[in-house]
Amino acid sequence: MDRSSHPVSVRVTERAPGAAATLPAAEVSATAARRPRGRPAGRWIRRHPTGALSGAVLLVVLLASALAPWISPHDPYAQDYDALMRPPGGAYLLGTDYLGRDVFSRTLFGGRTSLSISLAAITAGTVAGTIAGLASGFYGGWFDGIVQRVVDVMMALPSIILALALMAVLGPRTENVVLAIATIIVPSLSRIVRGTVLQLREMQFVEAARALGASDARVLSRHVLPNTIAPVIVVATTALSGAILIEASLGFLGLGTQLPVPSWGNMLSEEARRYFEQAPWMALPPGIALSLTVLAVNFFGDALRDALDPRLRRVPS
Amino acid sequence: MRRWVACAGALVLLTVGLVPPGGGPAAGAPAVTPKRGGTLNATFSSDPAHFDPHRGTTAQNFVPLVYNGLVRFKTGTDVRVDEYIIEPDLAERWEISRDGLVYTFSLRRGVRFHDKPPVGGRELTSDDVVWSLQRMLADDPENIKRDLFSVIKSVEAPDRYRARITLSEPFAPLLANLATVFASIVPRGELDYKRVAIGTGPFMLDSFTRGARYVYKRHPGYYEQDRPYLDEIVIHILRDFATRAAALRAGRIDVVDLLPYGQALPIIREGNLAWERYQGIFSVHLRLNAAKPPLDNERARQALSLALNRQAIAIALGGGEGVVNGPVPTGLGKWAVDWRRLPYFTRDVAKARQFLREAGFPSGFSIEAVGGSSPDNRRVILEAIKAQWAQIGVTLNFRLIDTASVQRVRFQKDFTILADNFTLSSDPDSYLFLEYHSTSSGNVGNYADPRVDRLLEAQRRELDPSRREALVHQASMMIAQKAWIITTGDPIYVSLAWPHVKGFRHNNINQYLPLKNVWLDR
Amino acid sequence: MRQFLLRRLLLGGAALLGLSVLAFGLIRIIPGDAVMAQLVESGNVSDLDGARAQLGLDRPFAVQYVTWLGGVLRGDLGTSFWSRRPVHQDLLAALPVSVELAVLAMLLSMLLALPLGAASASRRGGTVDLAARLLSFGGLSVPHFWIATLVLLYGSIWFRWVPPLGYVAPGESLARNLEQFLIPAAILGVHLSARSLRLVRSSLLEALQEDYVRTARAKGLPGPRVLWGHAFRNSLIPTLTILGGQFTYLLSGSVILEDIFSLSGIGRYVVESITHRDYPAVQGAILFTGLVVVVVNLTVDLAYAWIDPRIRYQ
Repeated sequence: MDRSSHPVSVRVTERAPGAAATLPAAEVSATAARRPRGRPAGRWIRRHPTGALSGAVLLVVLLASALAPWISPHDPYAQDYDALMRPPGGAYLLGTDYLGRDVFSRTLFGGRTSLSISLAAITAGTVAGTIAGLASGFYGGWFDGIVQRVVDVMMALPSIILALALMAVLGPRTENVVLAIATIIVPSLSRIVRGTVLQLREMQFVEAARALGASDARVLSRHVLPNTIAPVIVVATTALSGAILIEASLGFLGLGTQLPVPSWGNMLSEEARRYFEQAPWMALPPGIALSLTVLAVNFFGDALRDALDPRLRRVPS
Repeated sequence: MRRWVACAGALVLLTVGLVPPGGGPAAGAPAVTPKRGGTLNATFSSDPAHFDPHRGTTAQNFVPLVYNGLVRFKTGTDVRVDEYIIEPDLAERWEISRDGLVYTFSLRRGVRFHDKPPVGGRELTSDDVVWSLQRMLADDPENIKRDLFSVIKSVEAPDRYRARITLSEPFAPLLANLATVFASIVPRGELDYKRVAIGTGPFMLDSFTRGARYVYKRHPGYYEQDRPYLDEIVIHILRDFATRAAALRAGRIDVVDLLPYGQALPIIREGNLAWERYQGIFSVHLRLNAAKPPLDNERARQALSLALNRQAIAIALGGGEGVVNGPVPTGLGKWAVDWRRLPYFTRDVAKARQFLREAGFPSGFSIEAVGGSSPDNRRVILEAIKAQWAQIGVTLNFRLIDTASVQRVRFQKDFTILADNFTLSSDPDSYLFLEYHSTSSGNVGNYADPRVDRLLEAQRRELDPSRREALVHQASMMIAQKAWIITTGDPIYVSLAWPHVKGFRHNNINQYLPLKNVWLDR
Repeated sequence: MRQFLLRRLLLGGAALLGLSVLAFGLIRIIPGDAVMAQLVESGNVSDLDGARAQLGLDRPFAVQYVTWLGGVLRGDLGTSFWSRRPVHQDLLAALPVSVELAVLAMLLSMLLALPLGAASASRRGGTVDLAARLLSFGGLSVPHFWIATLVLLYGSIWFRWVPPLGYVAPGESLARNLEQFLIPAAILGVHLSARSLRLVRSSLLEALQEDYVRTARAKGLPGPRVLWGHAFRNSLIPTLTILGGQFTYLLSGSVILEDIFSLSGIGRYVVESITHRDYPAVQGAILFTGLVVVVVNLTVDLAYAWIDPRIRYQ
């Protein structure tokens, strides 16, 4: 590799166990320091039809979940004992479950629960991780050392074990699921941000800003932070799909949102599995909705990454 | 011979009262000479903590084949599931004194223990019986079933083949309790029950791998000359339900027991397996803590009972079929009172609301419940009850916790409502005295009523069956009135076996007991 | 290099120490103590304190921690409360299961990800790319416990087949062993290949943009040679990282599948020990997993530094 012809760029990769935390390489180069604004959306849609479609699907899912209380035909908690495990049709669009509750309504409300948990967790984790990474990378020294050791410890535990242990300590409640998932992604996210900050710290424009007397806060917010946004968004999107699946796993194990409050995870657990042959309509709607959403998040995130990564904007060979 | 079942997905069958057992070709084959040999594969969902029959509750599923008791329940295809017949086991006969206080058991001669160190196949004598009984009475925190035997005042061995039990008062359930696996006779001496299980039973625990399988081999010196027929039994530990069902259908497991009817339907419909249905006697229920307001108010408790649609709960439990239980499970036959006669067992929402008003809660109240996460039908009950109580303004917030936490909660009586199990028994005493008598250690809900106490003491002292039945019925009515424990129902269960498995009939007290009569036709 | 190695070793050791504290503290915060968990149901409990003293739980936390840590440094992970066997014995029994599952899953994941990733990188935006992404994303988005359920259900109905019921060591019967591990490994492999695929694809794409690749092309080297000879080697680093991460994740992260396929691996061991409040077992297992993670990370770091001399850590 010829070093002289190679622009300053360091590959920042993370090793991270756990569903939410395995990350693609995020490369930042000097030319990425200032992204041109207002890229035509139309061009992006044309180049990423699947990504655009996925974005649309996500929008529909989010809308349906948000509007669940208004568009649900039935109360998701109402039990109709004359209609236990009825197949789809009639009054119940997608059939009923083992206590006579409408599956369609529960799927809508379940999405509401699962998505709000995942989004909240990702947001919280991203914010916390970014702050930690920024501080750690920017100030360095012993503070950085300590934070990184804590991160090491957290990353030494597989995420599902960490989640299980946290739920056992805190108790199986919705808020704790958010906390557990957020805790899982904080370490890897902080590593990403820290890595980016480490490079940027040495770059000329940052040195220049400092030479001009800019305060730390100004340097951080005007110069460093904007350049971390792209990798952070990419990571957060990946983490989102992981978060949805972790929530499903926890729900499956009975450690997440507790029934009768529906979430896609707990709708996929015990009864849905036990009666799957005779009543597949209990599991298929939440399962398909879950998979579709995760798929859409992945494709959309992929397309987003392509859009945000300056190097790949160039014409492919 | 096949039996077709109506599609339960669209049709919901309502089952009340006693359900006659039988439903498949497994039962009552004409007299055929059983074939010897072969390995039977069975399954269970979790490992035992150890193999000590007198401690804890997990060993009971793994040791009934290994040990004998003084007496036992008759098992076999000629016994109905709801019939509990006590027959001799290690004791070939016994005498009961006129006052009902002294039982003298005459032991069989020449019964040999398994030929494993340190016991080495020696003969069983009354010393072993005395040793075992003393273990059953020991004041050990893990001796949970102690109350089944606590009436025993002393145990002696007048000679090598006789054991004498003296009671402090007449005790009708004694023989039934002695027939349970908790009264197994073990060899005298300190044994490491974590590693070995040595008894006189038809099968020896040959080897085991935690989390995988437990292998039992035929005991060549078993006292019943022509039994057992099988050479080997393997119990596979399969934690997940889907794996157990798949293993059965693929033929790797020969017999599965205690499957709720609704879950068994697709397997039944396939038509490959012989099956049989019966009522269980687990009776999952809610224990109310009578010391915690508002549950210290009897009217409030009765309101909670009135608000329930117990039939719906029982049906939901079984995925299509279920039975309602009073304080004494319906599966115990004559000991149970028809639930429709029990006070506050028939749903009446208006009356429930009125009771709440009388109790001083016109706008209802909020209440917490905890329950272990297994078996998981507890959650179904709690979900259903939550919805039903909501209709009278009572908000139920429930949490499922793991077994270790349930222990703590129960020990510290630190609950408002606890979803729990009863101790399985053929005798109503376990469902009544153990739960409701003010001095019983199993009474964790702070129940105390002198009238109830007297009635419970009287029924367990009453040795005449018909008089006792009247007392037990009376007790059920009185206890239903107090609404201390909310009993709901039991699913209809099914046992499934491949056609080559002969001689299997479910036993309500212990699901592995029947394996001693089983033979393989291939 | 030596300084680098030493530094990493020290950091790893510090992480392990921190992990030991975490493991020690976490299990004790969970309500319900070990003695209670030993009592399957409690009726008349007389000597609770005696039982506690017997397990060494009556001494102050700090003393318990130091005693345990001292034992660990001597190689003694303590005795399990539940099985009454030395913890390291239980762990060593669970290890081969987890290792085999992890290795097979990783193999399958790489088998899918590498060729598909390369194909889709070289023909970016084409049908192969789309198909590959769809396949891997499909594997990623369907919850793995549901794939397992369906495989078991229809395997038993259509083919009268079910994986072998208990662990069969490869030494005993390789065929049955593979029969048991193949399905869960495949499920995990497809699940993981999604992520690996994206990484392989993106890092190959980046590598293909590099100047040295354009130089190679300008020199007239054929496409595949450029891809495999040059670009590929340089995407090895993130691949290694991913592999390392996968291994540590798989080692105890496949808890649900271990449940469903009756495999007693380390993940299952940790979960059961938590349920039983088996303090030594949980502490030992977490520490053990941490040790594996540190070793794997170290190996990856070394390989990293060896492959790309530009990598320097401050």
